[in-house]
Amino acid sequence: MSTKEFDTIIKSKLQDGNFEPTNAGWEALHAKIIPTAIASKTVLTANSTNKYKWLYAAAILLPIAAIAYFASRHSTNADTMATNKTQNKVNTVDGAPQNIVPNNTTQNNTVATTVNTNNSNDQPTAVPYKAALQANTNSTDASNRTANTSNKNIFISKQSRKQILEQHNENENEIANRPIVAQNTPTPTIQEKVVNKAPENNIYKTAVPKIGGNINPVLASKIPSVNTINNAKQNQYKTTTPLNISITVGYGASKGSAAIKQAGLLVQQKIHKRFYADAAIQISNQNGNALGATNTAKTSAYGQDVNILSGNYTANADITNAQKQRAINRVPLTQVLCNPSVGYNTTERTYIALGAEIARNIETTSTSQLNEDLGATSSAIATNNMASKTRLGAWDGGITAKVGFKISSKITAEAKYRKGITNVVENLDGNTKRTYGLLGIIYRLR
Amino acid sequence: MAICIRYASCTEDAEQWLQDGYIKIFNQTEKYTGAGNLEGWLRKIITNTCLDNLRQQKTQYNSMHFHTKEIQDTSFGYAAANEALLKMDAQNILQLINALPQTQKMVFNLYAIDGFSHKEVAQQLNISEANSQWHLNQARQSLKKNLTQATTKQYEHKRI
Repeated sequence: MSTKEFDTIIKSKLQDGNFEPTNAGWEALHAKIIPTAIASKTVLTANSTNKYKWLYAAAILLPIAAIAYFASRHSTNADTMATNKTQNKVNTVDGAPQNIVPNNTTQNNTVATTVNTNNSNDQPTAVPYKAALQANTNSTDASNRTANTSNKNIFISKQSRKQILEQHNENENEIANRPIVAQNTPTPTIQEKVVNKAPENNIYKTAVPKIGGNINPVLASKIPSVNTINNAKQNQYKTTTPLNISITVGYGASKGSAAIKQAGLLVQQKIHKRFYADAAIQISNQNGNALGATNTAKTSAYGQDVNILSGNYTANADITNAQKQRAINRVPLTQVLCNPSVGYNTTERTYIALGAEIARNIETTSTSQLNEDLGATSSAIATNNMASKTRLGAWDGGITAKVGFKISSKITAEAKYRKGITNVVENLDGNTKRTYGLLGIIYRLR
Repeated sequence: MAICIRYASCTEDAEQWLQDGYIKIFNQTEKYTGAGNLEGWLRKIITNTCLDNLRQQKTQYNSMHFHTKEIQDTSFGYAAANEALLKMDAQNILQLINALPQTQKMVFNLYAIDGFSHKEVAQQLNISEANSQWHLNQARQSLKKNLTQATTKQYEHKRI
C-alpha cells in the first residue's frame, strides 16, 4: 500500500502544479497552427483545379449583385419621386388648372395649391372649389391631362384630399362653396405630412449591405475561404465511400451443358462498414445445350429419352418436347445480363454476396431452323403449330450467390452459383430454368 | 505541458514536443469519434508524441539489460518519504523526477503517473515486462533517496 500511496502523492502533486509554456512557446505554437490549418484544407488558388469554383463564386456574387441592384433601383425611385414633386407645377390637391406655383421648391416640401390660371396678373384669387374641380375636368389641355394622369403626385394628391375631407368632416356642399386657399398661404398640415413622409434618399443607400469592409488583412489571410470548407466536406465524403470499378471474366457450366462464358464490368460501392453493393453488367454466351439436356438423338426422331434439368421425358409421351428440346439445344444462348447484389466482407480478404440476375436473350430461335431440326413438314407445322411457338424467351431471371477471395488489392477470385427462376424456353413442357456454377476473376481498375 | 515537462529533459524540449502534439491533435480531430474521454484521448496523443521524440533522440534505454530480480524495499521506509513528499511542491517533485536516469524516468512517468501497465510500458519502450518492473523499483528507490537527502539538507540548513 505504501508504494501506491507514494505514487499517488506524486501524481496528485504534479496534477496540482501549474505548468505553462512561455509566451515565446505559445507564439511559436500559434505560428505553426495557422499555416497547418490552411494547408490541411484545399486552398482555392488561381491554379486550383476545382471544377466547382466558378459555381461557388457565382453563388456568392449573384446574391450580392442582386441586393446591390435592387437597392440602387429603390434609391433611384425615391429620387424620381422627389424630383417629380418639385417639377409638378400642374397637379394640385384637387386637380385644378395649371400654373400652380408651390410654396417652396424643396424636394420634400412640395405643396400644392389651387390657383386660377385665368387671371392676367399673378395674384391669385379665390375660386370656388367646385368650379375649379369642374374646370380641370373639362380642360381640353391635353398636356395638363397627360401630366395629371402620369405624374405620381396625382396619387398623393387624391390621398391628401381624402384625408383632408375626413379630418375636417365637412359635407360636400360646404367644401364646394368654400373658397380656395390663396397661393402663398401655407399648405394644410396633413398634406405636408403626407408629402414629407417620403423617405430620405439616404435611407435606402444605407440599407445596402456593405460589400467587403474593413477587415484585418492579417486575419483575412488566415481565414479559410468558403470553398476550402466545402472542399474539405467533399473530400471527407470521397474518402469514406469509394466507388470501385472492375472487369470480370468467368467460366462455368451446368450439368450436361456446354461451357458458359461471361465477361463484363463490375461496379462496387461501400454501403456501411462491411456491407457493400455491387452490380455486374456482362455478356454471357453458351454454345448449345443451354438447358443441360443430354442429346441422345437416334436415327429416328421419335423414341428418345431426353434429360432436362429435372425430370425425364419418355419418348412416346413427350416426343414433341424431346424434339423441341434437341432443337433448342442447338441454338447458342447469348445474353446481356445485369447482376446486382449485396455483399458482406466476412474478413479482410473474403466476402459473400447475394443478388439477382436479369438476363436479356439476344439470340433466339428461328422458326425455320426449328422446323428443319424437327423435320417437320408444312402440314405438321400447320397442324401442331409446334415450331412456331417454341423459342427462347426474351428475358431470363435468377438469383445468385457469390463467394470471393481477394488475392491482392487488384485481383479477386470469385465463385458464383446461379439458380434460374424463370423458364428460358417458351412453350416447352418441363423445367427449362438455367442453373449453373461459374468461376471468375475480377480485376480492379479503380 | 505537465505531461511534456515530465518526459523532456528541459523546458525548451517540452515546449517543442507540446507544439508537435497540438499539431497532431489538430490534424487528427476527425479521428476522434466521441467514444471515450476527450481528455484521455488528448493525453494519449501528447504522451505518444513525447515518446516518439525520445526515441528519435536515440536514448539508450533499449540497449541496457538488467537482471530481472525485484529488489525489495528495505533501506528506506515509504512512510517517511510520503511525509517528505507532502511538504514539497510540484516544482520540487518535478526536479526530483527529472534527476532520474532516462529509462527510470520514462518508466516511472508511464506507470506511476500516466497509468500504463507494465505490458504497455514494455511495448512502448521495447523492453521486457520484468525490465520495466525493475526500472520502476529503481526509480522509486532513487526518488525516496533524493527525498530523504533533500529533507536532511533542509534540516541541516535550519540548524545552521
